[in-house]
Amino acid sequence: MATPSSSQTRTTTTMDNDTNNNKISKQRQLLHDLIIHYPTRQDQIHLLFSLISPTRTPPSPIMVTGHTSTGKTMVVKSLIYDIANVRFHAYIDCIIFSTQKDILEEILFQLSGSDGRVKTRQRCSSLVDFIHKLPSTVNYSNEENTIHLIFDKAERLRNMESHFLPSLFCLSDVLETVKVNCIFISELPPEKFRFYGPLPKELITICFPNFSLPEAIAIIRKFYKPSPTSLAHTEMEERLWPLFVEATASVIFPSCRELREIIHILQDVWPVYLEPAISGRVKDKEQSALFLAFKPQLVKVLNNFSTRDTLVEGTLVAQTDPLQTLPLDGKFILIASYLASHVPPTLDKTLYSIEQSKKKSSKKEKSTRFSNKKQEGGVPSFFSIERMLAILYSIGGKNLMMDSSRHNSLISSLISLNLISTSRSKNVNGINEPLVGWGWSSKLICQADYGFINQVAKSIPFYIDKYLALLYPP
Amino acid sequence: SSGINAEYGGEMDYNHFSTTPETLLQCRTYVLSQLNSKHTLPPLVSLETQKEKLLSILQPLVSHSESTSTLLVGQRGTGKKAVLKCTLKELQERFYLRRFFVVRINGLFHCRGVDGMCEIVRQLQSLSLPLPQKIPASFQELSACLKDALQFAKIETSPVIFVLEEFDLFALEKQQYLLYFLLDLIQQPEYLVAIVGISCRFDAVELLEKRVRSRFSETQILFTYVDTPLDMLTILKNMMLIPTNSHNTTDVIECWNNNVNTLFENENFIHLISTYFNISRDLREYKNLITVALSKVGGSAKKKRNKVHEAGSSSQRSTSLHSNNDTIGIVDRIINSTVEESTQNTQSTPTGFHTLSRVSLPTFEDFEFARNTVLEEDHTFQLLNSLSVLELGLVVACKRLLERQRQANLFVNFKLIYEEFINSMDIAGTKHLKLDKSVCMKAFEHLVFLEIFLPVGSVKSIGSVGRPTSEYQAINISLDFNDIEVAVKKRS
Repeated sequence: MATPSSSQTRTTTTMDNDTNNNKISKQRQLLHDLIIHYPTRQDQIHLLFSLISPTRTPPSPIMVTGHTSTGKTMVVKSLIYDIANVRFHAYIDCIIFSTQKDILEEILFQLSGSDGRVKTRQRCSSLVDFIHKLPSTVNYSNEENTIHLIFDKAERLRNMESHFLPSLFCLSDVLETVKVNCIFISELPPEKFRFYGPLPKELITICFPNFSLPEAIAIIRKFYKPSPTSLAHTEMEERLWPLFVEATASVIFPSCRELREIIHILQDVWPVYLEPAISGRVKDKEQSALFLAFKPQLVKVLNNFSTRDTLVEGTLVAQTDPLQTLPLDGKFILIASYLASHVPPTLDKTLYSIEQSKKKSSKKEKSTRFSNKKQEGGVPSFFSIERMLAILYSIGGKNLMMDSSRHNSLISSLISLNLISTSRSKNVNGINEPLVGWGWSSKLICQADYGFINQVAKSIPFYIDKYLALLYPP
Repeated sequence: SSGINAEYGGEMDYNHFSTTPETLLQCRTYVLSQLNSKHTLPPLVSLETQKEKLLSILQPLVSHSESTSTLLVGQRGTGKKAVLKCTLKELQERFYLRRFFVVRINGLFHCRGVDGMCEIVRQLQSLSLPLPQKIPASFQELSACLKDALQFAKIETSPVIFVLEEFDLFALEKQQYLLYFLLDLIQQPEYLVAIVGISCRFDAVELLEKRVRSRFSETQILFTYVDTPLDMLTILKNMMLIPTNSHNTTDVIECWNNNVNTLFENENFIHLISTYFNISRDLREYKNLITVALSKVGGSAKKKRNKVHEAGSSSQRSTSLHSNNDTIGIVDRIINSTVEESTQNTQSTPTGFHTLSRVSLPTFEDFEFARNTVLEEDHTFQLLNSLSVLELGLVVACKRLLERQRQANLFVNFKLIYEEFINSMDIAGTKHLKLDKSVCMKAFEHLVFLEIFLPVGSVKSIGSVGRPTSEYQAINISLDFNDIEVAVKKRS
């Protein structure tokens, strides 16, 4: 509408304006490309872009939240590195740099490398040091002096030194000549960041919602293509890939919405799906038949995707199998410790007594048997080693008599496999951190669950259920 | 051209007015930069009494050489620093023959006594007071050379004003060395100092030790929030108007100012600010509101995108395992439509100049969008909305368990949740979600990471990452049951 007149006025202005316009058009082009690359993130990209600027700071830090693989880090990084004309920026991953000192030194290191200078590392021991070294690291010749700091996995900042997180908010106030803008990227919502009462400044939050199923399918089909398995069938593969993605992703989606995980599974399973079509067993035109042939494999995939089992010849094989590495007496010790943990000691006499008691148990005894209900939630309890050995000899018989060095070494190997832990490990119900050197008198606890023990018992074979039957009243 | 042109000419913007594009862009950037600038004096509304009181305390320092101390107390965003800035400037103007030094330290950064002293010495060094070149490291040496410098300042009759921000954090230090030292200076006639503390805790004085408190003058200036929404509206209007001066861009500035005035007379806008006033009176949040509103792209594109989203969500309901071509078509249309839109937005002309057919002046819809972005209510809901069906099922199973066990001890762990989940899947008859324990464990660990499930234990367990969860770890849920019900209803 106004283009012809404005273009005429434009040609009469100075060279400055022309170069500015070129910069603007180039920026616009890059932004346009970014929006195409991240299709559903248009709003967020626009908002972020307008808040990030080389000359001024927003009044509060920005927080970007959203689940894993929703594109937060990628969008923020592309905006800061390529598109907005920011000269001074630093990207900190709070998992790699886990202490305050590391973070501050890394920020100074990255900032010293801006403008094509050589990066130099300096020591920085505290925030006070940082405040003094920052202005000299960043030299100013003009107004563009806003420093943008990106903190990825920002939830870890809460655990560092106290007052580190609030002081990051106030950095801009304390520094006289430098303007600092912080961008926090995290999965947790901003409510989880308030530990000291109200934060010094409120955050501007930008939320990246998770993709819905059609969006996820469209993104995968557009941007991720599998590596072609064989040259002869590339055309067929290209035809089958979109339908495969749609069908398989819809099955996986209820369990897992992470885009990266879904792509990984699809890429793993794609050869399995293709195999009947390539070998000619099923005509590739009949997609429903292809999918039916694939279905049992898909079920296996669903049940195993968290463990990242590898595909071996079309079937799934677990990477490690502790069942095969344990010797027989080790398995018995494991079973005995499970029983010791889960069956309360009051039932020991009835279960494990080797001599057959001829006395008929009175009714009172029978009722006390079942009154010990299983512990709430099936929580295992501590047992002493002597009790466990007694149980071991009663279930295993005389064949399992072994001297103390043998069962010490077996218990040690079970502890290192995290199937048993000692009472001196921290937070036994949480971490299994065995300490070196457990003694004869220390208490142990069995951490394996019923499914695993069942598998171990079946491999011997040994029937564990009769011992556990008393736990479940009829 | 004017000074504004040179500074912000290179910046890209969406808002373009068709006749004079550059200057309206500069109006917007000017307003945004003034919001957060350090060099401008903020306009004070309804803070006159506090300013007068502070001036009356600090004036004797400069005119009659009396050492004083005071504390500015008020919640965040009530204007304490602003009043201090204005007062200091006025003091400077009134007593321009006498110079005084201002030293600022912050409780967040300088909470250790040695750090604070180092900072004071450094700042005084830069103000050309006689201080040794190398800053000593120990507290005693630092205090000694600081005392020397302050004596020199007294001889020159230049008072030193110490501004202690986050005053309550200084009081948390062991034995309060720094506070004691500074407040001690007031009592001694060899030094001419004033100590102004700024704190947002109303009980900041209670935190002081007895010997420190006795040296403190106990004069506190109280700051409160703005009383009525009308006052807040006045403040906001002052922030958004551009001061007119006799430059050649007056007509654009007038246009901007007129638009701002009409906006502030708009009833919907007044209602929006009044309702937001019920939530928060912190001025900084309003600054965020203005920033986001002025940064927003115009409204027409939003309507188009809403239609596309509706199409997308209806297709989501109709997806099934064996899809038909319709859903594929809709899905591809979503992607292509966003591509089309952005190309529309950035249509380039032969000269490389981009035109946009949208108005650039701030509208009420912009502020509505800003309010929805800035308010945080949606985040729990967003969090729940982004979970997969499996994870949501685990959350619902945990909720059911907790409701059932309300009388008994609330003991829930992963094993119980998993059993409950499998039971409910059996009852509902859905087989495809009956998954292995390892898959559910992975979903469970994700929920623990998101802090929806919190392990019961010491406070330190909150936020500590990297701990592998055991099946038997007792778990508490951090969400409200109502939130979960609402989220599930909106899902289906």
